[in-house]
Amino acid sequence: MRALKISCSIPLIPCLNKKSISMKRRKFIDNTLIGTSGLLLGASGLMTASCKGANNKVVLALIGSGARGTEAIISTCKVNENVEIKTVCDVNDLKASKAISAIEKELGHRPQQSKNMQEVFDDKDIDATWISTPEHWHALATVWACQTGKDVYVEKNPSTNIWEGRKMVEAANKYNRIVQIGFQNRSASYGHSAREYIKSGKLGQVVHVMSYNMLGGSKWTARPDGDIPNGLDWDAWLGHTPYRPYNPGMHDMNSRGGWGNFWDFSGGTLADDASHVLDLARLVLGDPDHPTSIYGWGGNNAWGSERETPEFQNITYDFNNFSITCESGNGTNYMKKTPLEIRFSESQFPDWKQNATRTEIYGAEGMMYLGRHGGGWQVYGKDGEVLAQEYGLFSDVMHQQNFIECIRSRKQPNGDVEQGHKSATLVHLGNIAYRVGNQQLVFDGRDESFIDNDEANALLKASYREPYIIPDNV
Amino acid sequence: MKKNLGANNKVILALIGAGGRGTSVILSMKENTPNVEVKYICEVDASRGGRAIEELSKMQGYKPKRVGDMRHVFDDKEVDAVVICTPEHWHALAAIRACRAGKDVYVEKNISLAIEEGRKMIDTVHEHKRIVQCGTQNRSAAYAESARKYIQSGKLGNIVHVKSYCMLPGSKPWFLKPDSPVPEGLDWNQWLGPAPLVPYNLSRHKAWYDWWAYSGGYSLAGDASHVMDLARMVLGDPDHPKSVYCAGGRYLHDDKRDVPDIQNITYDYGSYTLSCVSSQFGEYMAKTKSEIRYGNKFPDWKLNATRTEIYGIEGMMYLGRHGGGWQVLSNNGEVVAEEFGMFPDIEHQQNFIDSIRTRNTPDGNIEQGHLSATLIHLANLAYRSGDVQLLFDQEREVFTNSSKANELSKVTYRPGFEI
Repeated sequence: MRALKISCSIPLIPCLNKKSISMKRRKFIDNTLIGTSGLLLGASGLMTASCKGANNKVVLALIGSGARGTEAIISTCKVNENVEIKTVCDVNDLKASKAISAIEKELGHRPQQSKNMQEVFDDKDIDATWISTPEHWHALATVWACQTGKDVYVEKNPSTNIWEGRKMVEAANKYNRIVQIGFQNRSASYGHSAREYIKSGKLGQVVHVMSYNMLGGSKWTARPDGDIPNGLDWDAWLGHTPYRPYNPGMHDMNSRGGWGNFWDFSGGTLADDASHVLDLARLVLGDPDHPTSIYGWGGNNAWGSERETPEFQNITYDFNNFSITCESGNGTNYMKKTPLEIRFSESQFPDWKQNATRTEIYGAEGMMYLGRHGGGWQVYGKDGEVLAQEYGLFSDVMHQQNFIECIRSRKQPNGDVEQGHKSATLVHLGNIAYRVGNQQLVFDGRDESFIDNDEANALLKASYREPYIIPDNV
Repeated sequence: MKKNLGANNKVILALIGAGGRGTSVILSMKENTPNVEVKYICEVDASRGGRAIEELSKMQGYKPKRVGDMRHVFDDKEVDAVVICTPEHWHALAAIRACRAGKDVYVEKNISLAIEEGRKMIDTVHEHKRIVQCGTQNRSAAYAESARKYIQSGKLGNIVHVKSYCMLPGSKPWFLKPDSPVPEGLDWNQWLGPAPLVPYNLSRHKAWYDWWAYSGGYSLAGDASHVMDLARMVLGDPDHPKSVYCAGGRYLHDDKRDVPDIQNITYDYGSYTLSCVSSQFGEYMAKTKSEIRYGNKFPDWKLNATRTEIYGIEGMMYLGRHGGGWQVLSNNGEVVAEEFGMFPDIEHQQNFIDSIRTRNTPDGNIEQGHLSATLIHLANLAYRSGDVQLLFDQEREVFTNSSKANELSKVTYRPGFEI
């Protein structure tokens, strides 16, 4: 609500928080503001999104139009009223035109194309950006969006290092933006009932937690550099990361590509999927603050790939009165993600034994199995008796609804940026412990830095290449 | 060798430490191996050992002698071998004394209280050419051997990860009893043995597994030792890990016990890690039940307190100590290989008596016993050094990044009880 307070307290500007306000009228007000007072120019961006009524039109732009982004933004328009996509922005023409066609087909409206996200940020019509680029663009795009008064839905993992994650929090707070991190389990009602169950004390004191992200995979092979494909702005794709020649092992015009194997662009399997598992575990545990110590091990011994991001990792986060372990990787094809029929059914639980993405919470009174993405939860007691349970529904749609609701209500969204940052930090901590040689690291949570470890501290922040700079002071 | 034992020559045994486990082992050995007699029951507590003496009298037609000091046993040339079932702080010293006296040894787990004790045991065994069977009896299980072969054959594929569990049920707050007079019939000085001399205390005497002075912990040394020894065996007996990390504490009952109620441990074996959670709390985790240990059934792995999971790239193996057997699961829960297990206590005892006669290395040989026992010590030292990672020099068996751990690793022995 603080956004509303600030922006609507400026005198002489009619508050837009009225149900009947039309798109036309809003534009009129914007134009008036720009025309009448230079002083208020900066505030105008804030105004458009800050005082929206319950059903006012929300105008979105998609930044990063791969399969996930396109599917999610179309769904968002379908499951919410009066939401529209004005722009599809991608540095890859092929993906942009595919997304534009898909949107037109599904929603009956053809968005415009942009190759430069600055155009999105400069467009006063746009209320919010949907950021589903590769991970290395998440933080900067979010900061820029906040600075220009846009609300943000940003996919996980929200950052590629701890420093830029903190900058996202600072930007969201400073510019009073709604930033929904794409940790959609935070919009699952079963996530909250599991949290209530533990909070009530029925599980007893939590003594230990095991999170799993034991996915399948195969050997990955590096490829030689190649020519930049037509229709790709490679420099912009690289963003803040050091300039390097085009490599088809990192990028693919049609599909997701291999950037997840490189530290510059990603936190690997841990960032991609364990981030969800750990975020849900944190939610259910009552959102504990940063751990005080991390031991992380990793290696490429499953398949013997020469990947930067490892094939398997085994991590312990020490929260002082309990620890969370996370075993994550691509070496176990027989372990399975929760299948679709369970994600969308309220009458089935996964086979927990071989569920690749479960969490086990060991309390003094019982053990909770918890499955992300609709897996639900079950509490086991003595002799295998199920003491409590709740089926789960995949909460992608709920998270999309919550985002749009919060754009209108200015309430803190479920996937709020502070908790998203803390969950993302678990990923970074595990990766840094591996990268400095499978070490234990002692972490100062207040300062978000490592104690007595220069090598690890050097990995708290990436180097940023002009003009893709996140400023210290956002 | 003081005498040449033929295939069926009589083997004369003595039991040192006649508690519940010791009594059960010696009676079973008498019952299940041919031409064995028990000459001594050695016990520092006069209230113990009665049942062993009574049962053995019936079985062998004469009464074993009761002695309080184990040196009587070692001095008797007739005794071929001793079964050591004392608390842990006596294991190494008793085993070494026995070897020096020319006796063969069955020594219960955890076989040592410190890394250097295990190393000294190995040296002594070699020097005196003794048969020493460590009481990690899963090494005599046929199903453990077949699990090992399965992995060796490559059917499970490269090993990605290994998880051992020893999440025992049951935990209560603990109250330190006040010191009190030594109970009649107990030689407290001998009970303490190499440990520091302290006034008698019931909490020490009856809950010795909660004190670092006498034990590596009820769950970790007492039980996880079995689970990880079996895991090591099935994995082809890897050498010492490169590093150990342990996070743990007295999270539930902060009652000043030495031993934590949970330890979460990771051993770095270079190409994979072995994780072990050792704990005692709650009532929902369960050890493998008797009907499974002695029958053709598998445990409910989900809540089995003492299982190991071995993740290969082709499948995962569930492995249960003490007769739990093993199963390999592939896609969609399909069981692609399995073998039921039988609790191998008797087989291990038979293997011991056989080895005494054949002079072949027993299944629970001291080298592997020491490597497995060291996992317990490493985890405890990492915990006691402040929940840290310790880097271990595998050759020298010392830590390269912690003088505190090296200090804690040293054991001091009371005069008269030195090793």
